[in-house]
Amino acid sequence: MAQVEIRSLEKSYGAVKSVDGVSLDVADGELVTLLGSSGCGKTTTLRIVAGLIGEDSGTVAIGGKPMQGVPSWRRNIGIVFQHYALFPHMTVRDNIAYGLRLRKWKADRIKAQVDRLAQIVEIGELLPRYPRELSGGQQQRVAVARALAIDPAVLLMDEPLSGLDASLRERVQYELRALQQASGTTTIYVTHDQQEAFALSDRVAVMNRGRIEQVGPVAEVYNEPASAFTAGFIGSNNRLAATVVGVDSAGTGVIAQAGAKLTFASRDAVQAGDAVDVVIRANRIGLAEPDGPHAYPGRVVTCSFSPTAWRVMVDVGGLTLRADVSEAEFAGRPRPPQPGEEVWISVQPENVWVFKSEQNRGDV
Amino acid sequence: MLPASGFRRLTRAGTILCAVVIILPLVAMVLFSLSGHVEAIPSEWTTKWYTFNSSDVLASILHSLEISVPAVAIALLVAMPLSFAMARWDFGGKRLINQMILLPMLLPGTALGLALVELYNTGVLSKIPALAFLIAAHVVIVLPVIARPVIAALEQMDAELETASMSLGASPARTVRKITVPVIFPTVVVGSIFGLARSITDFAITLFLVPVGFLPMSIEIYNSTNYSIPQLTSANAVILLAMSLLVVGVGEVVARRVSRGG
Repeated sequence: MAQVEIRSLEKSYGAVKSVDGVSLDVADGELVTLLGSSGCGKTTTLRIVAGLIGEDSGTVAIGGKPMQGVPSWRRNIGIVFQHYALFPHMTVRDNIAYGLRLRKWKADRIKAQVDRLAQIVEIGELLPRYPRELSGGQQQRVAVARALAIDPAVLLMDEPLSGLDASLRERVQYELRALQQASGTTTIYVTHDQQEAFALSDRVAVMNRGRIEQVGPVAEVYNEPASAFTAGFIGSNNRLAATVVGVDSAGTGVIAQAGAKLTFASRDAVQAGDAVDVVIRANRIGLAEPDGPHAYPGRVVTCSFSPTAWRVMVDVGGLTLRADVSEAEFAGRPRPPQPGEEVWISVQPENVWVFKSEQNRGDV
Repeated sequence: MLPASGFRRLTRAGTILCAVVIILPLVAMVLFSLSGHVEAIPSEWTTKWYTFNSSDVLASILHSLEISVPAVAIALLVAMPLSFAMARWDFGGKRLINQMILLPMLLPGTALGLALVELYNTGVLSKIPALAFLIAAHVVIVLPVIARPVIAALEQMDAELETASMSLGASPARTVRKITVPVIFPTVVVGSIFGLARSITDFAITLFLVPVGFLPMSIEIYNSTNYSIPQLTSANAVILLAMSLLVVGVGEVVARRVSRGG
């Protein structure tokens, strides 16, 4: 178990800067997730920490020791790969024991360790089988057991659950988290799936175009995004470009786009006339009484059901906004809003997130 | 547009015809080798042709193995690192080497044989024993038979397996020994067996390069026509056929077990 220190990591492939100045500290026993869509540099960063790719510049230290020039096989890391990479010509037992045999452990100690890990991930009866005889979920558990068997300083996981079907994935998420916390292994997890990141992590690092946009505890990243990218990437959002009409001294102002004007409480310091990126979480928009506080009139475009909330698309002065409305909010109404119906929606100014427009906006 | 059943009947007829065209001469050859007189259907059955020049035949079987076994062994030694480099690394001239690997399979045997014998007779190479040169020529024709499937197997293999091995603490050398080679081993075996078959059955190149009096089976058959006894030639040919069928048969069985076992 050890902490990981990543400083100013850079890596380019030809003209493409895959990792562009990534710095991150992972505390001993912590699980940090690198979250982002494909091409954001999260997997490249992970592979540099693993020693599988060499960095152009920057440093990686594991347990305080610099990893410069240290090849992968001397870093004492465990990796769980997206497609498991189990050795097909070895039994499950031999797969898990592979790293232990390399470390010249005694046979009885190896057997005890393999049995212990097999029990933890619940594949005890599969030990004499070959990987091709196992289901995806079983293979995944073997991969985890194999990586943990050597008691690595750092556990690195590269989208290990993406090969599993949705129902299995949720269950395995919780099991993985429990396992990681029980063993106290420092872990860096890579995924593009927000739900996964939220379920597993102590902290989340949102990545975009080779940089970390924001890193922090899950709730903080969700509720207090520092940039338009992070705000727009996490959760279900309405994203729009708008212009500031006016701002008062208290920081409250109005933005306009199309024919709609919305009140906001500012996050970035903006002035009248500024071009801004606006993000409004769909679950922060609710149905309102006509002329209620911070309410805006609109017309229902569509209304569809989903297990967590009704998705109501509302046209507000030419601007189409998505509101995720819970069943509870419909109480008192005879039925959910119908297309074409007039409806009022409300959103608190502090939930209208306004960011200064940057030249190079990240792809949201 | 042919009706489905008509098309199927046509295809079936064509397949049977092809099978007959291939099998019939072989059947005739076997029948011929067992007949006392020269006739299509033997009236008198005999196996004397199989023992007629048995000392020559036995010697030539040995000579075949003396050429082919070392040729396959050397081809393997060359093919393994070659395949690894082609499948895993990028380097200048890679495409050229890829074409060169293919070449011996595409060139006509007589052209290659003639070129090789001229190469041998002129200059410094004539100092090398003729048998060694012959084996070297066989290495050249066996190499693609082994290298091509091994390269394919390496490319198809999950490269992440090697990565996983290294992450668990195995150096690259260890990884090749414990992971890469075992995973592609079945392909190597199958390639070697088919390489052996290719070498044993080679005629055109071997004809140009055989040392005096050192006749492998493929040439011995041709030679036995000197006796002007067609049954004898047939019998010798059946022996060579049996040899190559055996080798290829083993190869097929191993290949099938490999694809099933994974």
